[in-house]
Amino acid sequence: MISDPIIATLEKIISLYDGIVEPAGEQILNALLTENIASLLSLPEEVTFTTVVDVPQSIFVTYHSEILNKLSDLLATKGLISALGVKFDGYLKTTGFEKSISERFVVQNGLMRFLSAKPEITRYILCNVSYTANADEKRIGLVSFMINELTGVTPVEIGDALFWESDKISLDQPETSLSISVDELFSLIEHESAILIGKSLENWQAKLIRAKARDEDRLKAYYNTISSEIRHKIDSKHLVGEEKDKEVARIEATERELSRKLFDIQERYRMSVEASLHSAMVVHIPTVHIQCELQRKKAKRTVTAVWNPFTKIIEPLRCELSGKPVYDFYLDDQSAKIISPTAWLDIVNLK
Amino acid sequence: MEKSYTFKFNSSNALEALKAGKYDPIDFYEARLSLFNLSVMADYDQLICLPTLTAIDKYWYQIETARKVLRQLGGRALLADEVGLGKTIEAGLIIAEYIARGMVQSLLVLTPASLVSQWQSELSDKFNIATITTDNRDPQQPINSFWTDNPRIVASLNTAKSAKHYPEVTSRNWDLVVVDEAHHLKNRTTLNWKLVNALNKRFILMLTATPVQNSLVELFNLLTLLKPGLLQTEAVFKKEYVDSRNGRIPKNPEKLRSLMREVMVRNTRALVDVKLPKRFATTITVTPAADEEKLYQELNEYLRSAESQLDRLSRTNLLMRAGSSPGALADSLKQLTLRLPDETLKSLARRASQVKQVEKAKVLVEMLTKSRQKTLVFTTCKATSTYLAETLLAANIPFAEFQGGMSLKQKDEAIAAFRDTVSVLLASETGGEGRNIQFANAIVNYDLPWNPMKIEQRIGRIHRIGQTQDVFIFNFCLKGSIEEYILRILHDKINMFELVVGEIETILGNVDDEFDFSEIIMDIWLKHQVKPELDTAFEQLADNLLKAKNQYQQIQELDEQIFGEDFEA
Repeated sequence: MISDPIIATLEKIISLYDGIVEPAGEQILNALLTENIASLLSLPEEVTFTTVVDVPQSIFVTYHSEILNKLSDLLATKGLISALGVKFDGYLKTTGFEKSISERFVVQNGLMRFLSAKPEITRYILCNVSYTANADEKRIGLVSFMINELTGVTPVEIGDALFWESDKISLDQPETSLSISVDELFSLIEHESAILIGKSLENWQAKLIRAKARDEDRLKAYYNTISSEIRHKIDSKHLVGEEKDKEVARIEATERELSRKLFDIQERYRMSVEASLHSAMVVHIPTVHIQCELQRKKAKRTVTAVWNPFTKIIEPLRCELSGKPVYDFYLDDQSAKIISPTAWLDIVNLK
Repeated sequence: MEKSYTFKFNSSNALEALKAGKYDPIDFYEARLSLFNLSVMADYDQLICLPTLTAIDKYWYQIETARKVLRQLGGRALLADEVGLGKTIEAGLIIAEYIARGMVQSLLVLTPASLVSQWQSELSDKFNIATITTDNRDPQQPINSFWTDNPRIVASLNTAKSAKHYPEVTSRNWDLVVVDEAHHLKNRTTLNWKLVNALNKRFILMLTATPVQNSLVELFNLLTLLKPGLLQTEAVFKKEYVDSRNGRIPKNPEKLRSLMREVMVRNTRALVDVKLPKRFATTITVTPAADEEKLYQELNEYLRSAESQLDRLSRTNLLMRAGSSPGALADSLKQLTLRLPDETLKSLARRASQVKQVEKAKVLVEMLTKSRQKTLVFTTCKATSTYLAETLLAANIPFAEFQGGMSLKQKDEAIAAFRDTVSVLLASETGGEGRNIQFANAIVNYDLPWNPMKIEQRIGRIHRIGQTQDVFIFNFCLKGSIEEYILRILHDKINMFELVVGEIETILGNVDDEFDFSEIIMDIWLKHQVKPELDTAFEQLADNLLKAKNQYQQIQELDEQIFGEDFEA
């Protein structure tokens, strides 16, 4: 296992495109490229890649090398979505959920009744969302999170389901149709990534806000001093008429200048973030689907809760207004929609 | 936040593929992700060393500092954070990142002699970086092979600049040089400066909380080591940037600042926004029982007269243990008599083991009986701790114990018991290290380490980020003991317990580069036998420390004026 990330990535991609690779230590990779790849990279077919500078007759690769950009182009439309199965050798029990459902979920204004439980595969979508944030500098990053494709709950944990390589099963023809609507799924991805990216940029954002406040204070102090000096001049010299007007105009010009500079500062410290789904992996995990009936007055409906053997918990359901995972919720009168206490409070307050 | 932050989610090939159910084999997915991760690493947007560093609390500004040094400053920087913000952690992060990326193989850390072992253990324990030091150099090994065979060395600046070592350390190439307490390089005519200037180095980090102590020329000297030519020549620098009447006042400050930004990071506590609650210290001076007092006096008489029989280390050890408890003293004396069959020692050992009533313990029991606060009781010696455990048990005070030799599970249990059920944790020197015990807010120094930095470490266990209550420190000492004098200096004279973490170290460093507080007080104690003489000598020491403290405060104010908050990461 090579630990140098550049060499490890080159090894992976060259092998994927039918090349032959042979690591010669941690930082050197001997490769025989296929004709296509050699031509794409503008390299001979037999080549040595290295991440140390002093290896003779080798291609020195850094994080900024053009070779990596060319490989990114090669994978522009490959590896976007993949699927993976996970093996679970244990027994998936289907009894005892009546009690655990009543213990786990609290319906504040209705009922939740256990109907049945059976082993089923649940698909979890591991979403990788890349982002570029621009402010006083540019930063790129990636956030990853899981969505339970059946319940729409996100973020959700899957425990150590992906920990053992030997438990992973490749799926040649995975089921591609989604239980959740595409629009709803996209909206979940957008919403969750906005939260996670916001969190990952919090410290930078706080730093910018602080620097902005500092610069604004300095500007205001500087220009206000100029203005007050002019005012002082008007008073002490008892200026009137045209002379006074001239000085007043100077004060106005100073204030305009201050506003313009304050606007510049706002622009300088404004952070804009653009994000998009970079890739996703649909993980198929053996779970237990627990059918339950929700009832509020006359409204009744059936929902599925999921018990995951890797986390050994019954996962939360999703608030159908805020999208938040909930164990404790209200039901609406019309269709027994699941509503989180916070969202419920908002509704009550609106009434 | 609304106006200053905008978020836009764009459509992408991946979104379309998800919609269309266009799946590729997992290897392609992994390759695509690996490639993207490389691009994140390219500009240090992500530090690859971070996930591997589990033994440290990493604060955001430290990570930002590391990123800035790596990304913008090209690995040549002056790290000048205010005291206590973790410059060593920042340097460690940068070193670890360079090593993880294969950009640094050879490393030289230059520090004052007193910090050599501390640097070695921090690099090893916190960053998994093994080093060899000038302290543990094999004397049989030729000097040149010590410097050429070892890739990563922590060296005392004094050793490295000595005539024997200088040619060797400057004749090889170093990927990264770190200079701690870099204000020792402020003068260009000194050997310190010349040594660092002569080193063949690719990256260099200089660490100091006080880059300018007397004049801006010191800054010129430091920055010239980082980026020769940045501030041109000294004459040009003075003409362009220094007020001709006062060498501490910058002329053309904006231009100077913009140049300094190319090489310097200085985080302030205001940026970090760490507001720790107050800490209150109380000295509890206990009058010893007659037999305790007699034992202490006779031990001191023996130590003062036994210079030829007993080495310094043994004498220091005995006196420290006497300050801890008669039991601890008895243990040490017994050990000593095995190799030194001296009648006085044997008699002292016998009498130490016969002391049954320990006054300090009585006062502690009284205090803990009345207290409702979660209290951490520190002891240095095992024998003292065992005695206290028996005493607390007899007094019916529930407690948990946290000792260095316990297993991880036992330690976890002790902390859990302290948090959930008992109000007292009896801890050894390492007590609570690396654990969150900020739910406690009182510390008892049942015995007092003579090294102020160790006292600070004890306090730091609970007076740290996450602490919400005021912290109370109770320092126990016996009347007429050396610890009483230590507390008089540290508490009454220089208010050590009100200083910010890290400041005491800087102040002691201001007295002298190689100043060792515990050695000095031992010297004074052994040299003077009568109280008036002792009082005068300790008073003199206190005055020197007070001067160093004032000097530190003046320097701090000067640096605050010069740098302000303009160099934050």
